[in-house]
Amino acid sequence: MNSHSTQSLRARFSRRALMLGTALSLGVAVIGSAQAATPQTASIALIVPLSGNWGEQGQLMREGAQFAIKKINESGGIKATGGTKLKLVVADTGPSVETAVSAAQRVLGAGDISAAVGCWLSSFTLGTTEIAERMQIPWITFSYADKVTSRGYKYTFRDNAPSSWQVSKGLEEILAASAASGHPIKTIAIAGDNTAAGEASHAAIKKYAPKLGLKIVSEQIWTPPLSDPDSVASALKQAKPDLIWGGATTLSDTSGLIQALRAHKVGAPVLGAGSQFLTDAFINAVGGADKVNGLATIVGDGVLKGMEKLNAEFEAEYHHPMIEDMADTYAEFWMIKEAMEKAKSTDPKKVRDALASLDITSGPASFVPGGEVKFDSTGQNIKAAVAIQQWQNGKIVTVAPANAATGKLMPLR
Amino acid sequence: MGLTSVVQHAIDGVLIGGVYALLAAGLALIFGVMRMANFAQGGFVMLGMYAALSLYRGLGLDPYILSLPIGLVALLVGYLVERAIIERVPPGEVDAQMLLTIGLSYVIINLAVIAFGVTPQTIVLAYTHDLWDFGDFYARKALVFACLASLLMMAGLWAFLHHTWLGRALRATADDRDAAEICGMRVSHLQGVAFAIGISFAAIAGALLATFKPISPTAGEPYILIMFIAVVLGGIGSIEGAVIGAFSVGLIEQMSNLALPLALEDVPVFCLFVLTLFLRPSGLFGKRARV
Repeated sequence: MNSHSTQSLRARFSRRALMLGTALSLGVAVIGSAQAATPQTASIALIVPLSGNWGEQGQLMREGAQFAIKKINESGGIKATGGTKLKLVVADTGPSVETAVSAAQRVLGAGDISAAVGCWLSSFTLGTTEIAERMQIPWITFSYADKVTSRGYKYTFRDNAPSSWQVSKGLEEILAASAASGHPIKTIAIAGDNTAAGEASHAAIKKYAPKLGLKIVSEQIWTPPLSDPDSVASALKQAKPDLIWGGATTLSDTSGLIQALRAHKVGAPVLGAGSQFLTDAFINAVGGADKVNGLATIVGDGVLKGMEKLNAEFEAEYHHPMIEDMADTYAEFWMIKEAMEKAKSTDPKKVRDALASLDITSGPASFVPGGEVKFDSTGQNIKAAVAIQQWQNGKIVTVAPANAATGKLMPLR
Repeated sequence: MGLTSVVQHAIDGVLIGGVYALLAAGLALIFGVMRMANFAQGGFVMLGMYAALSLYRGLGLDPYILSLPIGLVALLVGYLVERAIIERVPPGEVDAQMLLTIGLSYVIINLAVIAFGVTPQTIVLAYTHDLWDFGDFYARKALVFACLASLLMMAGLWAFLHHTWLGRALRATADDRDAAEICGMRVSHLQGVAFAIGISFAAIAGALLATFKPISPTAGEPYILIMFIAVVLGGIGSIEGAVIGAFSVGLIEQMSNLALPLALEDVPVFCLFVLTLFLRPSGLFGKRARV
C-alpha cells in the first residue's frame, strides 16, 4: 500500500470516527432529555397497624393515604420537580412495638423513601420515629403522646394537639359547656389503657385536675386488651363520677367498656379520647349509633367546616365518612406535597427542612383543627387546636373548635 | 376492699373458670394421650368463634344451638388434621411437634385474616350484655350460660371416658401407650380420636365465647397460655386436674384485681405457674413418675 492510500484510509477512519462520535453524542443527548422530561415517582411510606388490636385504625388511615395520593397525582403531582408522582408504600406495624420497629427498619432502610406517615398508636410511633430519625427520613404523625415531639428529634412532626392540650383545653371546654347547661362536672374517673397516649392523658388529667376544679375519684388502667370490662364498670359505678375519661384504644376495649357501663347502669357520661369511638366497627359492636347518642370524643382531626365537599367525594368512594384516621392522614400527605414543592426536591433531608419551615394557612394541607400548620423546633404544630366530635342523631358532628365546628355540643350522655 | 367486692370477684372467677375448664379439658386430653403440646389449640378456638358468627348471620340461630354441629364438624376436621399432618412427626420428636403446631397456628390465623379481615366483629344477642342483679352482686348472663354449658360438656366427657369402650381405650393409651398397643389397640387411631375431641372442645368453647367476646383472627391467642397454665397446674395427663386448674386460674385472675392494678392482673397467675413448675412439676394431680 502506498503512502497516499494510507493517508486516505486514515482520513476515512477519522471521518467515520467523527461521524460515529457525533451520532452517539446526539443520541445520548436525545435520550437524556427524554428521560428528564418523564416525571419520576417519589415514595412515601405509610407504616400503620393493619392487623392486631389496632388493625382497623391502620386500614382507615390507608384509605386516607390512597385518597390523598390520588388527589395529588391527579392535580399534577409535585410540579416543582417536573410533575413527580407520589407512590404509596404501605407496611403493617403488626401487633406490637417490636414488630412496628421492625417494619420501619425494613421499609425505611430499603431506600428511596422521601417521607413517612404513621402509626396511629403513640406507642408504635415512639418506636418507629427513632428509626426515621436515625435514617434521617421526615415523619409526620397525629399520635397524641406528648413525648412524640419532646425528645429533641429533628425529623418527627406532629400536626395535631398532643394529649396535654387535649386535657387542658378540651376537657376545659367540656366542663364549661356542662356548667353552662346546669350539669357541672366536679368529679372524674379515668378508664383507659396504659399505651403511651393513655399514660400521657392520665398524667395530664392529674396535673390539670386542680386547676380545672376536678377530683379524680377512680382510676382503672389496664394493659390492652381488657379482659374484664365488667369489673371496670362495677368499680366506676361504685365511684359515682360526674364524668368518665374513656382512654381505651382498641375496638374490643372501647365497645366492651361502653357495653359494660350500660349493663351496669352507670349514669356518668363518657368523654372519649380518640377516633376509635367513631368508627363503623365501634357502632356495629355497640348495637347502633342510637346507643351512643351524645357520646363525645376528643380527636386530632375530622370533617371540619369547609371539608364537606371533600368528605362527600371520599364517602362516594369508600362508603363511609371521614374521621380523624382518614382526614388527618389526608392532610399529612398534602403537607408532604407542599414541603416537596417548597424544597423543589423529593430528597428526604430537603423535605424535612421544608416541613420545618412550612407556614400553611389554606389548601388541603390546612385541613386540621386550627386551620394552620406551622411546626416549632420540636416538630409540634403550634397552630393546632383541640377538636371534639360528638354522636348526634346518628351523625358525627364536629363541635369544637368553634371556627371549624359543624354543630353545637349537646349535653354529654 | 369490702366483703362485697371479694364475693363478686369470686363469682366472676368461678364463672370464667368454667369456660377455661372447657378449653383446658380439650388440651389435657391431647396432652395425655399424645404427649404433645398443641399450640394450635387457640387457632381452633378462633375458628369456632368465626363458625358461630358465620352461621348465626346466615341462619339466625343462637350460637348455643350452633355449637353442636360446629363441634361435630370440628371432630372430623381434628381427626383429619391429626392423621394427615400431626401423625407425620415421629412420636417423641417433641421439638418437631411443637414447631409443627406453632406453624399450624400461624397458618390458621393468617387464613382467617384473609377470609374475615382483621376488624373484630361481635355477635350481639339479647343476653350478651345483660346482667342478673342479686342486690349487691351481679352475674353476666352470657358468662353464666357459657359456664353451665362447659360443665355439661365436662360431665359428658367424664361419662364418655369412664363408661364407653372408646373412652376407656383413650385412658389406657394415656396411661401406657406401649401396653395399649400390645393389647391390640390401634394407638394411631386413638390418637386421632383424642386430637379430634380436643379440637372439638376448642371449637365449641369458641362458639360459646363468641356470645360475649369480640371475634378476630387473634381472638384465640390469649387462651393458649391460660390453657397451658391450667393443664400444668392440674397435672399433665389429668383431665380432672386440668378442670380444677382452670377454675383456679379463673379465681386467681379475678381475685388479683382486688389487690393489684388491672395492668398486673396476669402476674399472680404466672407466678403460680412458675412456682408449680419449680415445686411440683407434675402438677397438683399429675403422676409423679411414669412407668
